[in-house]
Amino acid sequence: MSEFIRIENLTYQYPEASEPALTDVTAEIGRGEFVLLLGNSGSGKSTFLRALNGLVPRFYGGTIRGEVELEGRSLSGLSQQEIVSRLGFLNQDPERQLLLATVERELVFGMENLGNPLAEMKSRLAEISQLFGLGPILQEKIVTLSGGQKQRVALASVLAPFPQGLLLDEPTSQLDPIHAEEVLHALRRLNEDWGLTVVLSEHRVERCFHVADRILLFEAGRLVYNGSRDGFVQRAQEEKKEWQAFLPPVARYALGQGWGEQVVEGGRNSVVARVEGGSVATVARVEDGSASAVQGTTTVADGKSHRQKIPLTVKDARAILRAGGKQWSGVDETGKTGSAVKKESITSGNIVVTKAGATGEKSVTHRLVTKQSGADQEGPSEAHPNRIQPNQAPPNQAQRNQTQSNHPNHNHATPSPTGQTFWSKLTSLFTKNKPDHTSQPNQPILTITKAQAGYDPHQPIIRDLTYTLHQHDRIALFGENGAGKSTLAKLLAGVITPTTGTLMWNNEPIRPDFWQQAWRRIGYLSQNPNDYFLHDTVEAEILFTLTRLDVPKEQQEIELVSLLDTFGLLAYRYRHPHDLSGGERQRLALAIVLAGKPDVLLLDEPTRGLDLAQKENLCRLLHTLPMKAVLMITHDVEFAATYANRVTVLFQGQVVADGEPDEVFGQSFAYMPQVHKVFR
Amino acid sequence: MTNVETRWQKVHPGVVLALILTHVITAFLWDSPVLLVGQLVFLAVWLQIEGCLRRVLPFLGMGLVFMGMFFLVGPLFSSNGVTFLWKGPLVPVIGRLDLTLEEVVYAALSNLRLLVMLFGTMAYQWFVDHDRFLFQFARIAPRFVITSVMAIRLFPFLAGELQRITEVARTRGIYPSANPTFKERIAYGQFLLKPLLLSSLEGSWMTAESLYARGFGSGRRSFYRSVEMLDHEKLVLFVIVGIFGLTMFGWGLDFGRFATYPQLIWYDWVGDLMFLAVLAAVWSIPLMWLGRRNTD
Amino acid sequence: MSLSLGLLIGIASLFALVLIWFEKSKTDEKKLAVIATLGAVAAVARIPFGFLPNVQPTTFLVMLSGYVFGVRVGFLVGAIAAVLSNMYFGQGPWTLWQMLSWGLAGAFGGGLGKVMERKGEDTVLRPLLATTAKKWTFVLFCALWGYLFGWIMNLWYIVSQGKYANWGTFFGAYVSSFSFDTAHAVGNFVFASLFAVSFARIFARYHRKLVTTRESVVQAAALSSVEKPREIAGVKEERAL
Repeated sequence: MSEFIRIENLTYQYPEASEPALTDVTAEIGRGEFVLLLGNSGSGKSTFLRALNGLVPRFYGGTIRGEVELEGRSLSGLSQQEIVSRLGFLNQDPERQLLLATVERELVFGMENLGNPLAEMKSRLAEISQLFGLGPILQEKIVTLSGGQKQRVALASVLAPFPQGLLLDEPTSQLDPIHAEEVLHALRRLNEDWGLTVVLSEHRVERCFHVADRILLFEAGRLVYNGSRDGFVQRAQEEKKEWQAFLPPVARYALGQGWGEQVVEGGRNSVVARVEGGSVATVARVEDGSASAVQGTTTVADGKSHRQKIPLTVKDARAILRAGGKQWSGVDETGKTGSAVKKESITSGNIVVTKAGATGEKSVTHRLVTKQSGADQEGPSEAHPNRIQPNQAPPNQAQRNQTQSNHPNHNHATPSPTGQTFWSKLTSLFTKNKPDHTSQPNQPILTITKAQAGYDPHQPIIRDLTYTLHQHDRIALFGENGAGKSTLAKLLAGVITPTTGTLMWNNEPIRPDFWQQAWRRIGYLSQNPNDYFLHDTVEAEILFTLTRLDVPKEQQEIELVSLLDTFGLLAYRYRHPHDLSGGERQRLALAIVLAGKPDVLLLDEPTRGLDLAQKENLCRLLHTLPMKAVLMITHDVEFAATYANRVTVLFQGQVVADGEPDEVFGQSFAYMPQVHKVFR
Repeated sequence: MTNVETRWQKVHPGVVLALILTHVITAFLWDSPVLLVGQLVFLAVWLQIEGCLRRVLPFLGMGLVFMGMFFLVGPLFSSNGVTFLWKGPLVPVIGRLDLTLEEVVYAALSNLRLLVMLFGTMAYQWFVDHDRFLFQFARIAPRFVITSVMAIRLFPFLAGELQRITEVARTRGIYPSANPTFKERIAYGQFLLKPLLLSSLEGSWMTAESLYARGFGSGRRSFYRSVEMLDHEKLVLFVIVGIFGLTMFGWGLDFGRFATYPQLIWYDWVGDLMFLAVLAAVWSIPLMWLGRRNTD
Repeated sequence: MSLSLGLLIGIASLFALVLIWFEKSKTDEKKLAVIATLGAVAAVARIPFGFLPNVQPTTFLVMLSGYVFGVRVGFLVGAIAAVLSNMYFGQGPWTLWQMLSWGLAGAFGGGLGKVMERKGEDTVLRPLLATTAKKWTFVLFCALWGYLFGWIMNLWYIVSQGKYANWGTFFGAYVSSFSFDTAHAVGNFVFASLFAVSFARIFARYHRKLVTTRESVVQAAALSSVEKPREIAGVKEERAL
């Protein structure tokens, strides 16, 4: 593989920054490689991408040391034209990258800038529009396109000048899963068919991890891993447990389940189920002492050493599961490894993978249940404590700290111990003005009956919808774009009024004057935290709301500090809101909303653009908040699976599925977490 | 207003523009009310056929306020004409405040001309493919063209952002009361504008990155045209030049002559009518030609 | 005809000059993006205030753009805002004149910024409109431009009067537009006095980023204080395939 880009000892610092954004990064990217950049937000991935095409430092200024070479020539010696004709660049927001009015104009824009002759532009336009299926919309105005179409046009227009490499900065973070998959699929195809070098920074690894040839992991501006995918999985498995956060959900699950390496209860024998390409696994018996020595590889019967395989895709996982299941029972029969290994035998956490629900049952859901509760006894309405969410923290202690913080036993009535401190802190504030009139757990709070709503009365977006938010509901609201999710949320928040139908609050019909003060009862968090920033300091934003609540001056300070502390923003008290990072901004927006002490919280795609650590943070935060009910519009199935206790699917303005997460996830293929798919 | 699509936008913008310009320029040429009214009617019919006339009306309202005002003030302050309708006091600097028949007629003609211009710009608004028109100048002024086109593209996007910000503000209890005072309205406006400014300026960085990454300003540009000016469009352009020539010729023969000052003289209104009939016929030629070709 | 014709030619050549100035300049992508964005924002900002005739924040925003970003940006933001806002509020013969009026307002704002804010080493770091005197000077000029805007706009009426336009016509036009211009001026005054300082701060944040990036890129030297390159523990170089 010939070398395409070489980065040598690259250190870069933004102007006015105190720390370098990149420190001593050395890497090589081969022609035709599919490189996946991993790392949390602010770890330097974006800066690294921008260093490859000269945006850093040409665009941002600052100080740079080291060398970036493109095709063996130093970037600083190349002209803009020479760089950008070889390297395309796509960032997150299609809205701001599409510059011109029509699709056709957009597609040729890059070629015009590079001075391609007319005939060539025409032939390439034809090629690109065929490749991306843009023919029918070539004359369309950009404004009329959907978000997914926009990103597809953006990608196509970057590729129209036929670059040899493509740099992508979280290209799917603004898209729903279907369109995200489309974009990633296109990338994969371009990489395979065109030999296009792809350097991709992405949080949604489940659809691209397994195609990556090389993984670069950034931590605080340093490149801490540079190597193959399998090597990364192995390291994550063995020594760098915190890296597991960057693996696809199915791999994280498998690791948590101890797949590939099963320690028998007795502790003396390690039983390893090994799968190669989905073939039947062999089981080896390893002596106690040698088990740790050969971590990652096992000695199999024929004496050869093999690396264990962790599934990276649903398909792999299914194959392993099937093969593994067969093998385990086989083991049991032959008694090679002793009676300790049973079909249900599992690692220390006694989690059993079972196919729950017989074929005739109403809900054919594949559930993961604890052994103690009995594998087959529960129905859909069963209480939650017994259910283990698929993304649930694996039993081993190291992983529990860094996987999703949601606990299955997180009962509605009693918040988790970690939440207790926040809870007590906040409830003291929240209950001061409003005594908690909790009577029964499932009391309806906000009900909407036979509602019809939308901007155009002739084409209502919400059609004849009846929906209730109960106390303790943590709802994940799914649905394709245009299904009416946002309209429903706005309806519940009182932004729009239904043309027909009624709304009830605590079983009492809502009168028009309810909405005047509704913001004290119903909090709404939009997709863009920037919408909430009206002042010059973090402090002023919160105080603004507190003042409007008529909180006395002396009380304000206490509440302000408490809120900021809960949201981890106390250090930024006097900062400008726009100086905060993406995750911090969102927390601030949430803090602003919650300063109004609402009973109900509506969130519009709160995980959009967040990395895994930030999502966990958000999840933890949401769990600690004293909200009676939460409704969250989301596309993020994995997040919903860890957070929600009720899932609703909207389709064309109507509820088509509503129930407990397992029930809905089990039925809907479109909204199914990766791990659920394995057990389908 | 911008999202109206008409079949004329599919015609080469140069041709449509030539057509509209012919009307606007010739409107300045003559003073005969017959011809001005004739032009107005012609443009109105054109707009009506394309279903756009009703869209003109809201804007007409605003224009009429101004026109009414000028209609009064202009004659009042000018001192031309001999047929006095009203004589007012002497005012320093301006002279005598008065109204003469000539002045009133002159003001009426000016307003007619204004209407022709207004209808012309409306036709420009709806019948010209602005994007394509702007790109005709990309060769001469690429920076300006790209900047304008980007702004045009951003406008609906930012209007949508503003809508969302308004809704978010509402969920926070920030909205104008039923009868807001001027001060309340301004304060409310600030709550909408600030987030809009912050977000949009932040977004402009991504736009700028995209401009760089797609090579804007990196060297000599080439220019893409999906469709050249078609043969029949070239012919029509030729015809339009011919019409302009014919008009000038008729004007040279004193058709459309009308004097307001010092005294109203309508030289030959029958001749003007005949001239208008001829013109109306030739004006329709390009419309029929292009109209038929582009709806096939 | 000569007066009108003269005006038309004058305006056309002014636009041509600005255009050439803009095309030949080394205006970079960041500035282009800012111009387009601010032009669109200034136009969109008219929407929430559409209820009052002639009271809109566009003039103020255009002038502030000029004040912070300079003469050229000011003019272009104004001209673009005119075209765009008329797409919403109605295109007409007045569009050209609005382009001119707002363009000049923006350019004037730019001039004002040049005069009032000392351009030097530390300019980009100092807050703009920091003193009361500066603020109120800016506010007063904004109000004044409410009238100037109207006066320039009146020119299109004078042009349409053709050959009989005289000083009386001028005067008549200015008297009749007085109430509108006053509303505009009052609006500008209110917007500027309330928002100028905080909006200037928002603009300045981005202007600072624009300017700092134009400073030459420092290679290595300044980074010597940063720790020396060292082996990153645990980095395993492993070529794929």
